[in-house]
Amino acid sequence: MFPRRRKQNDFNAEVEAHLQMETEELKEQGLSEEEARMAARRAFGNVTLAQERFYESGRLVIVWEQNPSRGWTTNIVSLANFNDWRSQNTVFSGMAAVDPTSFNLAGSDEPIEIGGELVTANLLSLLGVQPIRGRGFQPEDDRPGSAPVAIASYGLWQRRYGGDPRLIGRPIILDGRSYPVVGIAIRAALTINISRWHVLRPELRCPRRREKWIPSPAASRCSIPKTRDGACR
Amino acid sequence: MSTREEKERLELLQGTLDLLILRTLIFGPQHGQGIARAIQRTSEDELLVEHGALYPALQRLEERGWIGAEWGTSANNRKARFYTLTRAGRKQLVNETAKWRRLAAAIGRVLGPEAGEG
Repeated sequence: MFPRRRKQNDFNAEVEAHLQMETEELKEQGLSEEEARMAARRAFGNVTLAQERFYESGRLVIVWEQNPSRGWTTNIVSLANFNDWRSQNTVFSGMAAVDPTSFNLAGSDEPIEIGGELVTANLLSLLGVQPIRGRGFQPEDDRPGSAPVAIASYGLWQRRYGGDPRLIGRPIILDGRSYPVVGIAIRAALTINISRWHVLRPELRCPRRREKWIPSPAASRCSIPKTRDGACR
Repeated sequence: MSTREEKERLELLQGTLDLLILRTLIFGPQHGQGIARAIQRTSEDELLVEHGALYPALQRLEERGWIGAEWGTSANNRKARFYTLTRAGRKQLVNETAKWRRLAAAIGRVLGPEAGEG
């Protein structure tokens, strides 16, 4: 799905350069530093959305089930079906599943409810995302019988744990179960709103809950079957 | 920037941003912010490129081989990613411009003369 993609850092640097140049131009027009910065930001629009569109550009698609007899075109898929899709896949360079959910996070502080995602272990590597600390998920992480692990978002790491690097390797309590934190996710959002997820956790069991296909905001939804080059109907 | 901000600008038609980017680059390499500014200026402030849409478009054009990109230094000594029109891009620009002019003329004929309102 990602031939010769530019690095996220490279894109971020480009956006940053854009904002600075825009700011300078606006300052020359008489705006104060602060006003100019705000105006540049406004003119740019949603940076996260731009990143999403950037990474999306036709390569990331959501695959849904169809149920023609009921007229459903965006049916969610079971883990078993997903596993079949993935093992029989010949059209995509990779497939991952995500399931948005929430967790009760307990520990030394007040328990809080946080947003998170149950994901297949290949998600981050598929997206080409490296955690900023610790490690990403490994293939074993979502196999039955493996020890449960979690990746914390940058935001959660900062807010709840004060950016303490010792969070890695330490267990956190999600819904009453203990998960060692193996990594911290990158700061910026990428493709699928990783910034919104406080925790990523590989799914270990056949979930009771639904699962959604990966990613991507609105634009590119596909129903199978689809063509090899990823063109949507 | 400020006086026109509240006024309604024309929205870019689907597919026209690519064409405008290619056209802008005919005058030489330019970075994203410069491209957006140039389109705004040349259209006499009628068109405002949503910058968030600009970069995915640049990426698309780059992937198609119509533009090349390289990090360089801007006029005020800032690191910026400069885009250049490729030979294929120039060809695409010529074709698309001809198509666009035909389309605009055809729509013009259907809509009729400006004074013929009422």
